[in-house]
Amino acid sequence: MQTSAWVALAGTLAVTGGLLLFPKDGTGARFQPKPGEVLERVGAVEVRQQRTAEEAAAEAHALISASRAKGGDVRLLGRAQAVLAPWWNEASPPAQVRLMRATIKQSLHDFDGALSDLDALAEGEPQARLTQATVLMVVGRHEDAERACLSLTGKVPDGVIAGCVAPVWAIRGKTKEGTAALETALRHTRPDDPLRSWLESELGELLVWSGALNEGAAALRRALQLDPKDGYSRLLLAATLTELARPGEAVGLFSAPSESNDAELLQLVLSATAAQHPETKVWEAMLQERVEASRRRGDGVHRREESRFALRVEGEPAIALKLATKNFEVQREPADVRVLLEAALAAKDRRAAEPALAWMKQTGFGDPRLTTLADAVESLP
Amino acid sequence: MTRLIISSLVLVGGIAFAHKGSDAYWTLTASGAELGGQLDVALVDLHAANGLDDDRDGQLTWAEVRAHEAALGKWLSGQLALEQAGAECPLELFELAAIRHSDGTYASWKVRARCEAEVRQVTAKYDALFDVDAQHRGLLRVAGGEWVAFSNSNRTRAVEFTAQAPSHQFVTALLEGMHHLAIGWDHLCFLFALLLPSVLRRRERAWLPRETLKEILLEVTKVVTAFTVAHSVTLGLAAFGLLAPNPAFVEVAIALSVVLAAANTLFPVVTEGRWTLAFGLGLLHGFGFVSALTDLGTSGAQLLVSLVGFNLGVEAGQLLVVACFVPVAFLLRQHAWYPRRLVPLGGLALMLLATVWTWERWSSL
Repeated sequence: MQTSAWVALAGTLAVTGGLLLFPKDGTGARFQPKPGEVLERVGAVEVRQQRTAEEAAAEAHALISASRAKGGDVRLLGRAQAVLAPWWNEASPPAQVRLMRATIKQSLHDFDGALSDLDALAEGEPQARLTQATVLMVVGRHEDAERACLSLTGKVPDGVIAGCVAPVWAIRGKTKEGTAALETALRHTRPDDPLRSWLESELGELLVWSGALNEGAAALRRALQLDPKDGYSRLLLAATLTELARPGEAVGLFSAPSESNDAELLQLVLSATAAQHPETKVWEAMLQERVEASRRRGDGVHRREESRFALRVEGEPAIALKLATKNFEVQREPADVRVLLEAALAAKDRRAAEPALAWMKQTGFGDPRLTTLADAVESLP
Repeated sequence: MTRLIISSLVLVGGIAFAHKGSDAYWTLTASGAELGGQLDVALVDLHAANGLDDDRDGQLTWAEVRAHEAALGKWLSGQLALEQAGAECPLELFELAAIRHSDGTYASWKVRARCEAEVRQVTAKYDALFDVDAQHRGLLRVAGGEWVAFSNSNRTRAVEFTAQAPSHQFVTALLEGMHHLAIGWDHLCFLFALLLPSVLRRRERAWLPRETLKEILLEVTKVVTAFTVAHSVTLGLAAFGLLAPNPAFVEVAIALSVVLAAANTLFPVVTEGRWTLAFGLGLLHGFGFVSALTDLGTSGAQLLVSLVGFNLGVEAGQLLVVACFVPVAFLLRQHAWYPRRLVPLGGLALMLLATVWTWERWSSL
């Protein structure tokens, strides 16, 4: 037989052998690490002891803050909840525990649960009242939210009240009053006041809602300069820049995609797609994995993002609509309205959009992007 | 105080969660009255529950994990239970290893349980980690089915094992094998590239038609058998976990193998012993079949049944291709354009196509 045939055989065997030098990494392969191999970085572990209510509340608070610092880490939130386990199902736990319980429930999107705790606390505690105001706004109880904000007059700095009430006013069609209140508050806060970044962030959001995307982006940039860790502003700025046809800048805002939370990763994928960024497929795969993990867990908190994902990335309007509808049952912020309108339009289902259209009529919210969407949906057959 | 207030105001509705929540992965398959499977628990979770960082340096090493192996195994097996008709099926965890998931390194145990009677339906209980992380989920998957989640408020689940008769399993695997070959353009093109010149003989830098059918059948048989043996071997070894190359690299290598086989048709180098190419490169194709086989979700003795069935399915598909191609080629081989046009052009076309595949698969690495 030919020499070349033997050479071919030897060569191909060598190639196959070489392939085995690159074992499967990632999931699926059990392996024995070397004893000294560092596998994870971990923190100190609390010695489990009987905690008093004060200790538990303090520990839960620390865990919640740590969770938020990481953009919303579920593990830390779950640890906070576990710390409060002895009181979790009690009707009237001690006040500090109750406030932490409400905060955890709010983060897990159990808004009804959070509100029932906050209602019981609101009288005494400005903190509780503020959280209550925010949750009320999220579930769409705008009058109650406004009342809750204004009831804090004299108990908290004026800037805080402005920041609390401005978005509510804007949603109810009084955007000018809202932006005015925020601008006044900004004029009266010192340059080093941590309140400034939050006020700028809110101003940015209100400006975006009013259709002034460039000014809104500018305010959001100022907010990020004052607080580079502000995930909310970063997310909103990225979305706004993408709408302004500057998706490349939006992509540049996310320095560590694998550390991003799911909402940020979704926005990154949408911006990267618009910018035709070379890494788009990589990030999309990452996001797909996150979505699958969330579905396996049966977490209900991502529905807004999942709906957007289903519509904009997977191209599945029917699924997106189902998710958007379920989402709207729980939360009714302008972003939730938008997601429902977009899904209904794509699925050509006017009837499914009715809750969103009713919300628009009832509030008088004037975001031009939403009114355009609403008009388009209403003109569906 | 302001920061406190702000932090409570921001982050309500919109922001979803950063890292994945805490999940543990539990797989189970049934074989008669025995249950087998695997349990993966994140090291950060085990540490949060038990404190594994003995030297308190903020780093968890494998040695530190191994030091706690017995205690962890005992603790964890006490948090799981499998019951059949009210009677407990004693469960044990053994063979600790590490495994990587998307959010970090996990400890991975093999699971074994023995029930009284043949396993059809069991009640599974999972209590691990909820008192440390109330948002933890224990995710259970049974024999290739869907994942079901144990949660803090839902710690017991009824689990069904659809007893598949071996014959049913065999047929499923067989059909899957045939299907996989039918959609496996790269495998088909590889085969095709090797078969195109099989009705010809190379003499002094020219192709001549082979004289007899017997000669042709012998050549075809050598090539196809070599390919079959090669991919069966690697598929078998990979299916039982003895070989585990990186799937992405395998895909690139398979595409390259088609390029090489087609190139050899276009520029004949190996002309008499093409079975060597079929064998050597065929080994790579076996690795490409593994995922389709593991998707059938079988293990142990049942995996052997699936493997044999799957292989036969692939061979049946191959034979079909050969049976369609060889008679046609046999008849056409006498025409001058067969060796002069069809074979080189076919080789060229396959080479170009496979080069595109190689490029695509390489750039998605």
